Amino acid sequence: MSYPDYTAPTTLREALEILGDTARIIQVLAGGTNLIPRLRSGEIEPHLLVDIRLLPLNLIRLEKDCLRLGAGVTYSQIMEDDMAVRYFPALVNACREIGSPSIRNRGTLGGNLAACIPEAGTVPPLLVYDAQISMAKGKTERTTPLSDFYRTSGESILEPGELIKEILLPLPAPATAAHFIKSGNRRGMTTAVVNAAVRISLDQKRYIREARIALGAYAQKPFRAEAAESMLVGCRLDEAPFDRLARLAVESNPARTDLFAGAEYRKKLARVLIARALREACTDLNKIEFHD
Amino acid sequence: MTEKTVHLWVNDRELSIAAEPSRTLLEVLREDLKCISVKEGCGRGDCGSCVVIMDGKPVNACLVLIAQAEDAHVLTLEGLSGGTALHPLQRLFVDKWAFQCGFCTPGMILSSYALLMKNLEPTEEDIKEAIVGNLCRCTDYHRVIEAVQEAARELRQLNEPG
Amino acid sequence: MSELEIVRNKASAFGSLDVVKGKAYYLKDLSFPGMLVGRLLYTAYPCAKILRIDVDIARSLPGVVAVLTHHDIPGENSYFYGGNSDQPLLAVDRVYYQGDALVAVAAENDEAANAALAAVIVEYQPLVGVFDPVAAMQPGSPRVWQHRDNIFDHTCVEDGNVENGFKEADIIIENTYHTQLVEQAFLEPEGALALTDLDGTLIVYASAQAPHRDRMQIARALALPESKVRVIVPRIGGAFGGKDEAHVQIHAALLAHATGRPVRLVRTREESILTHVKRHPVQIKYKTGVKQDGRITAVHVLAIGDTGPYVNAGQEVMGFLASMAAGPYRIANVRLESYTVFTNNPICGAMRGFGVPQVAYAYERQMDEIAHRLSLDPVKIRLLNGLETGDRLPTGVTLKEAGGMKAGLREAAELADWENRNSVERQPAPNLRRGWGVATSLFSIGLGKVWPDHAGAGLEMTLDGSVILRTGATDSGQGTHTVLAQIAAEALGVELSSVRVITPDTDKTLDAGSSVATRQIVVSGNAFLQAAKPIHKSLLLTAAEETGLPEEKLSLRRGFLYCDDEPLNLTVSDLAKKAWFKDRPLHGEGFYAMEYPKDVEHVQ
Repeated sequence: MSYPDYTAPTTLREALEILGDTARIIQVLAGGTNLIPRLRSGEIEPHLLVDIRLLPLNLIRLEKDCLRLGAGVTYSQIMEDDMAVRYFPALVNACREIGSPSIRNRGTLGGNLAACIPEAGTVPPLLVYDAQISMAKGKTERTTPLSDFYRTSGESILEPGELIKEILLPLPAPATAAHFIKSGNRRGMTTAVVNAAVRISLDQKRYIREARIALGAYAQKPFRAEAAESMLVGCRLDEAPFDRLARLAVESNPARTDLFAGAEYRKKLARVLIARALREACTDLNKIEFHD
Repeated sequence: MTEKTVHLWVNDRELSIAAEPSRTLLEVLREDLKCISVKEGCGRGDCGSCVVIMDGKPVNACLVLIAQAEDAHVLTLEGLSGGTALHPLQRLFVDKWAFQCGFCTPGMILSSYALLMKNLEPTEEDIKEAIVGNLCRCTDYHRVIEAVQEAARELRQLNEPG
Repeated sequence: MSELEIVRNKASAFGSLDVVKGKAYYLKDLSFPGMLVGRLLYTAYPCAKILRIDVDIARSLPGVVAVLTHHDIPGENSYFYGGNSDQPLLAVDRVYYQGDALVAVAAENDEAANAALAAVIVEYQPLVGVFDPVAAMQPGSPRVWQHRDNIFDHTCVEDGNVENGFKEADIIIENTYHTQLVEQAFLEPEGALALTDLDGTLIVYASAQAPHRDRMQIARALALPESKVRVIVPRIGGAFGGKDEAHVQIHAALLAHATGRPVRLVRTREESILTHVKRHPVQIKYKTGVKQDGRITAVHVLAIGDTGPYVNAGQEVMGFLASMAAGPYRIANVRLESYTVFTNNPICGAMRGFGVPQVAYAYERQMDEIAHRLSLDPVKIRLLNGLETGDRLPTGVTLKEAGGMKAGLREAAELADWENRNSVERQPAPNLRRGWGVATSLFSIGLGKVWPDHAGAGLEMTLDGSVILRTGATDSGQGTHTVLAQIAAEALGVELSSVRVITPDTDKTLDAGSSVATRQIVVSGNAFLQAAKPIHKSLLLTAAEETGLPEEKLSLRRGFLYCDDEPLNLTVSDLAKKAWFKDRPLHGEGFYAMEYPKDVEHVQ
């Protein structure tokens, strides 16, 4: 266990200036649920911790058809936010499955993204909602789609001294349903063996206009099963071949083996979860009335 | 390393503590303030033995750095009964044998307390979700659930007018 | 005592108010002025030679008060458990599993202690280790120890003629079962706090199940007379067998002795999981011979237990497993074998069940398969083969009372509506299945004939009629102290609330042995019944004199004197005072040894 120095800047500019110091090993501290165990085990030995808690990164706001979640927003905050609940239920459900109430009161969305772990629960739903990540470094800012945020190895594109500012979620089109399923070795307090998220958006004639299928914990990084997605586009909702798609999603993407499960089991599980999530989304869509 | 003065409330007592900022709230509560009810079972947020209430919400004290508790109101089990009378949860945990070795109990009671602060009509599922982060190796939790249900009933009756 | 009012009623657990108020003291809640932090350095390899340990730099670091190696142990450098001293406290030139300790450190704070651990230089020569117990049994396997075979023990319990028994069978069912290593995961990690008292006595607080045995081990390692060592047990946060053997008590004592200051040594969760004894993973070959009607004619069991590198309780566990391997069934022909095998895997020893959970899994799966193959009802074949009063177990023990198994099974089947289970919807939802399972098992309590199995007990009544109970039996949450207090209160005729329990402290409480094997209520309970007798006698003799009534008609209940069923106007407190004035003793000591059948050989 190391006891690094600590600072809690009050402005973004101050934070970025401190983070720009290349002479010391600096870690950004958000909720600490990932970082503090690593400090304790000696896995990381930073000189300085930069706490984001006093920065204006803990807000959820709706701006121009886009929900903007600060990187410092906690899982609990997301679960209690009316707009998140209304427009992004798959993300809310993903948050609900993380840890315990006490973990959710501290862990943050930005922290979940920056941890770069394959089983990060918020990533699959953020992917299917076409999230964008806004980052800042020094005096510059950039925004990138979440689907480009992780390299193949699982590492993020965050550069030294760069901070995640916000996560932007475009409000989904009206005839949209999304669903998230986490499967672990237990129901609660468990690492995901496979996470699956899906989104289906329909056109006026109930044909699938847009589809998203995302898998987490399955491979080295969470990803979208794009071949399977494109197969869904243009299908009538009630004729969509969910099982065949699930199989395609799994066959075209290799799974990993680790302490919790082998690749073969992950493939079987992912097939079931994708099909199930698609059916749930389908059930939700069938409840929506269309004005022809 | 440089110490920082952290200002916070613990069990309604206003304090200014000099501490290395990256020591955990768990360490400071136990070692400096002698709040021994806050237990260390794993040090990494997996067991819930160190759950305390911070600004009205349950958190794992082992995952909060003391500097992050600046201006916070922290409640530990020692502070739950205020004066001499026990909170219904405390009394019912005894009466319903909701623990054996008792090590998980402080965290378990506080997680339950946090639930009852928001919801006085919890279902069994609600209670299970509230204590999902509190591991118990001695019991099968069902007496904890009974104790919480009974406490909820008592608190509801207290709230009823007349 | 005929009413048994106190023991028949549920009582709140002793100490429970302290727990819910947050005032209960577990080991890490204790601290003393000038206290140092103790830590241990564990090996980097599970199987290696140690070429060099250099602690000079570590010793010179600021805040580091002591760094000990095996050179610094005044007495014996070993644990002493069950007659075995093969496990060193601090490794000399070899390490045998990932939890071997090399160096003990005492420093002013956590940071300095961690720095000291990091500054110790160890040169290892990793060796080829043994990690598969089955492979370890083969000739030509690398050996865990140079001087002894990988197969440490072979136990065989035989009865009847197994070959004939299989010939009689209509079908034979043979399977191999594997059970896994299990971690007790008691919520409170192991810890000890040692300090020297004013008179030079070494006091060691420990979260431990066997304080008197710990005292012996500490004295042995420090080359001190046992009478100069005192072990005190605060509230324990769970044990389940994992705190039966000594863990860090002796190391804490060594550090306190070397530094002259209090030292508190608590394992981190990671260290705990790495080091302490676990439940044996066992491979069980189970062969059952059965007749068409479901009657078992023969059983042959071959169990291989991976015990890690040190004997610890390995032989006991595997021996117990073998002796219980036929289950709660009457089988004329059995051969029940177990092997205790060394590997470089984690040490295995005492963990709830002590071998039975593993083999019970195997024999109950066998019963289900038998039922399935013969198209018989799983409850019925268990009833058919079940033990009854008067039956003889393969070990030679005759059951004086065994009606419970069949009666219990019948009642359970009724409560679960077993008869009608096939008419219930088995798949109420696409992802839900409903099923019924049944299992029975055989278990026994006590340490077995081979080990001393006794307890001492102390009771004292004060002049106001309150009772001081002294027990060396530890309670890690199972309620031992509460039950012993109930027994004492019942035996003395006082209210439970007037009993104060003095918890294990080797200076104050007599040796009751370890709190394992479900033994304490029998041995300590009986010892307390004995301890109560002289006090009870003093009170009743005095009562007879005071009232002029015959002693046989008098009794003490809930603090009052009774004549037959009539309460009299004399309290226990009144009688205590009067008895004292008449020079009658108001204290008693008890002793009880577990009774075993005289004609039986085996460990059971």
